[in-house]
Amino acid sequence: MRIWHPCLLAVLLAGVACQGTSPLATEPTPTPAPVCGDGILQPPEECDDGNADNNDACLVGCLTPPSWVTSDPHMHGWGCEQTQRGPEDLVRVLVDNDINVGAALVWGESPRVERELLTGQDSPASLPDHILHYDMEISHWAAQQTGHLVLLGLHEGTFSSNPKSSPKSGLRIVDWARAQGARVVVGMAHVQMALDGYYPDPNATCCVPWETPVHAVRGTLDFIETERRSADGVLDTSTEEMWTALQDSGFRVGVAGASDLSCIHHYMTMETPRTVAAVDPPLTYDRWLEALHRGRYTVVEGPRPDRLFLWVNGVGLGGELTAHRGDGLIVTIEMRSPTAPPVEILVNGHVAATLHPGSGHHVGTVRLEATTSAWIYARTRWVLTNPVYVVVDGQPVRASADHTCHLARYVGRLRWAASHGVIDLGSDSSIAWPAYDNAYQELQKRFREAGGDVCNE
Amino acid sequence: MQRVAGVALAIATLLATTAFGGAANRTPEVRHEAPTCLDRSHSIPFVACVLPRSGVRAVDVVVRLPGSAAEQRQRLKSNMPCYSIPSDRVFKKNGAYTYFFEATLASGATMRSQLFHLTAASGDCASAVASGTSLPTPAPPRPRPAASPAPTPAPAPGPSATAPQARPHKSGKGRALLLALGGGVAGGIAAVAASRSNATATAAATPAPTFDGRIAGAWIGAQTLRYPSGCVEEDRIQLRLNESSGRVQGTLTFTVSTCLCCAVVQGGDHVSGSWDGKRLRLDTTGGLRYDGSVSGARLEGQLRGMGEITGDWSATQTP
Repeated sequence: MRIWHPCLLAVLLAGVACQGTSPLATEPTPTPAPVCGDGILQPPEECDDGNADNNDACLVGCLTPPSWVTSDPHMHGWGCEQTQRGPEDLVRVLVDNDINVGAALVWGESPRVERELLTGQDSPASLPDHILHYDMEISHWAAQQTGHLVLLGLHEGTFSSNPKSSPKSGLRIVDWARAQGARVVVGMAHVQMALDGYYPDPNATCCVPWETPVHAVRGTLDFIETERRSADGVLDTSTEEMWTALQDSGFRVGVAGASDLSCIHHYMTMETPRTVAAVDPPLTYDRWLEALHRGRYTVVEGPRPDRLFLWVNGVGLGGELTAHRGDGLIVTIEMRSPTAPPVEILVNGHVAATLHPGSGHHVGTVRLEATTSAWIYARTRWVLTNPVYVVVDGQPVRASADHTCHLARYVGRLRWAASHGVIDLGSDSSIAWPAYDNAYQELQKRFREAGGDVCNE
Repeated sequence: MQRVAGVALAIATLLATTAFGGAANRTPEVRHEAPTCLDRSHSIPFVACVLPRSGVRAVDVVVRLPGSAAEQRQRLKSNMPCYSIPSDRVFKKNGAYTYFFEATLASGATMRSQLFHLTAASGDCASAVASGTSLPTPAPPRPRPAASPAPTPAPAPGPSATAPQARPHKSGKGRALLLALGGGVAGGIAAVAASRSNATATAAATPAPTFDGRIAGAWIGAQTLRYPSGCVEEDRIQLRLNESSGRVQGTLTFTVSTCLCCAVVQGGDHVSGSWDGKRLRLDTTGGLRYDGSVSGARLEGQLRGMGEITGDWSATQTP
């Protein structure tokens, strides 16, 4: 942040003294110089209660703690293996598992009685702190072959007169959903599945998120979703690699955790990922959607109480700040944990700092130097934040040519699959092929911007 | 700069345009608030803040005495976050003094500030001398700014924390005010000056507390952090410490006061470390290490952390 005082600018530029009109010559006021912790609320403090207690409405560091909302953006009432849960049953799941927001997604196997619950409104079965809302997953419909889309914030759910046969690509469905309003949030489910590292498995029988990079290039994807933990971290390898590749290539796509109850998870377990979002009260489904849209959320493993938030120069999760090379970046984390996991702060996917705040509720600050445009996030063993974005000298994030090349090759495999019958685009070819080609070209362009030379399919 | 009614204020940029620290927009600048009269000690408060500090090897003050073309040069001492004269120089002559500051950079280049003018007359600041505290006579009205300054925070209290103690005889607000600004070009400089003036005046009127040997309690002060790029961040800080058998725990909160290269934000850390009665060592959650010792009633020392960040800090215990 560079705020140039006009008088000083005059001095700098013309050597003009500003003595007569300099604001420096103002009468002294009784206002003391602000220092966080003095109990006096002054800019830039968000709060200042003058104590060192983090367990109140003001953190050490004079930051307002985020208001956390636990959520599951992907659950089903009429689930796999003929599991049937009505609205009251699902609300009971939310209550029993201390989940504040649940998105119950209708899909191709939902009976008409369930599809009619998608009204654009919260389910009447909702409780004040447990909102149940019906939305949609593109699953067991024709377009699932290009990836299972999670569509949140819909007002109505009829995207086709015959969804079992058309459309065959998710592109038109995303456009249909987006047309319903700005509150709509689009995710790609099952990113942990059917990927071998970066690349889709053409022999997989389910859930290959084929069109993920294409949606990202089109700017229509808010998040990718995992429903599985890893052995040593919050994200499984496939999701982490896809997310890192997208971020390194300059696509601001978040990562969310969900249960896919009762398909991936038949019950909520200690390992079922959740999405924990920072939502300003009062809690509503729209505010929760807004948090997802803005990237103000984290992935937490299971029902653990671990919470982690990140500010860079006072800008919180999902936000963007501008800087110049060499500028100081003040990175502050808030961490709550009953254990004492180390907190890693990662810049462009690489650990830049590790904090050891201990158990309890802590705040810590790390100072970094801006060297290049970056995505910065924090993680522990149990929780992972979405990034804060730093734009250095106006340049986009191009953090890894290798990762961008992986995405280009991924789209290359998609084109191969579409031309070899693995994916049958049917009449959607006229829309899908240009989008695939455009995505491939855009990724090749970003690959070169990242310093890459040759990226063959 | 000619003498003006009320407090004479000057903002001067060093004349050279050479930048250091790798960024063309980081040409150092010196900030100094000149007095309009001499106090009882007849010393000129040669306090200047040069920002960014990194890359500055030394700062001199060069004085021309009344009726003389000869220049007297004296090296200023680093007095974080500014520079000040090691001991007061007495100027007994009445007449017009001029002086400027000269910075020597690590590259060997030198850069000068503009000239500052001070006319000393018999009885200057006499009222303040008589009272020994604030001025009993009202200061002349001051020029008002054309527009209200932006509501941005005030800077680190380095001078206000150090100068009043080093110069307990300085008069209060309005005249002969020792006030060195922490530099930076962020908006809200006006608020900086105002609050500092007040802080200085208040401190000057109240004897500085003496250190009672107990580290526990609240400490307020300032820190300067220097990034490898040359970026300099100046903060006001507050330490809240608890101590038991030499083990220290607590919090360190900060508010960025001036920084050419970072946002004006605030933050905090939990700290832990040790205290042996003379030396304090603190580690923050975020990886900064503070080493300090008692100097008079203050704690002061150095800090360092990951990313080759270095700096200085000082703090004074608050009741």
